[in-house]
Amino acid sequence: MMIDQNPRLWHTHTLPIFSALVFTALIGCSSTPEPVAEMAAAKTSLVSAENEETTRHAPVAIDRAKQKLKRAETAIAKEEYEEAKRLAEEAQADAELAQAIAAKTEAEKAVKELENSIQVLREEIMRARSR
Amino acid sequence: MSRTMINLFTATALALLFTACGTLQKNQALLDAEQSYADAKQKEQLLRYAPTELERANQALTRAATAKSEEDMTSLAYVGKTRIEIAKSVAARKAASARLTELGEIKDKERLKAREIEIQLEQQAKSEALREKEAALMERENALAKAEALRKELEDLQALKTERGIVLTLGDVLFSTGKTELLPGAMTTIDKLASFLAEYPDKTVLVEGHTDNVGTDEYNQNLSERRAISVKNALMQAGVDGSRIDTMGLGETQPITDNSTSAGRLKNRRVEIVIRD
Repeated sequence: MMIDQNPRLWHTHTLPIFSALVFTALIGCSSTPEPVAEMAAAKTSLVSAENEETTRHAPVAIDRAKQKLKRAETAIAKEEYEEAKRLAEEAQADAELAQAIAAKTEAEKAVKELENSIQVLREEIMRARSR
Repeated sequence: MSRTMINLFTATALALLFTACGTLQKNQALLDAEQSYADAKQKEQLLRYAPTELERANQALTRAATAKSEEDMTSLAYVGKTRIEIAKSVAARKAASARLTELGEIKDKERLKAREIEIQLEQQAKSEALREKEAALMERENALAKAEALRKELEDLQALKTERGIVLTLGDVLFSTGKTELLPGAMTTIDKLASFLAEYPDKTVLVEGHTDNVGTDEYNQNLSERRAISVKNALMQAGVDGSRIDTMGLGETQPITDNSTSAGRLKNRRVEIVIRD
């Protein structure tokens, strides 16, 4: 489209431009190297997220993370690095989400328990007062 | 350098410049994620507790907006959306932690309250025990005082402690000779005795009439009985229940001294009131 707006160039440099386009297409604008860092980060996140609490409180997210990491590894093996990179990043986010959900659920549970124990204490006080 | 080479070089440079990696139009996944992010930015709790997580979501969405492929865009939109969810969970967790701290303080206060009440109850129990002890002590003191008062009152009545109980003697002077009516002078003693009996409602009395040996036994027996009854009547008039008063005439059978002198006979003519428990 830029080429269309530049008729002079188009006219005089047809061949070079065409070659340039082919070249660009070949190397791709994103010749993605193996996503080593992303894979490592995903693995680290998954390792710290895989525990009893996430299994109990965030089974969907942790399972998603595991599946995606597996698919990322398959993609690496096939040298489909773009796909692997995407999957690795998603897996990392999923693992972190699982952990965040589990931590949130535990904290909320603790709040409930504390609220209950306060309620019990208050009832005891009421009883003591009415004695 | 040949012209062709120069052309090729220029063209390559231009191509790299212009094509870049093309700015794709935002797809639905990204638009949705951006909407979620905009909503999240409105939430005070998220801004307060999860600014880092929100920023990471923002970074993912920014990358998504300049993604080189549809797949990258969708994937980064997913990552962004997931990071928003992470932010929400983190914020909720921190809010819960803050609440825990608050509740901890509340619980401490309640515990303190409970302890105070416990102490209060303990003190109540203690002071109650003390009161009871004092009451017992007071009761004992009262009993002692009462006993002392009784002793005093009986002393006032010139009563004597004998093996039969406390004995109060009304002398002959309180009756006209040969008559049974009490003289006015006797009334002081009767009133004292009546108020004493009112104060000690569990006590009963036995009124005994005695005479000297002048006159027939029969006459004396009769006179002693009627004088005892007269005393009973006087006591009843002073408010003492008749059921608490027994009477008995003993005539001249129980002299307390020699009947041969007039002084002795005077002493033997008497009414004795035995106060029984």
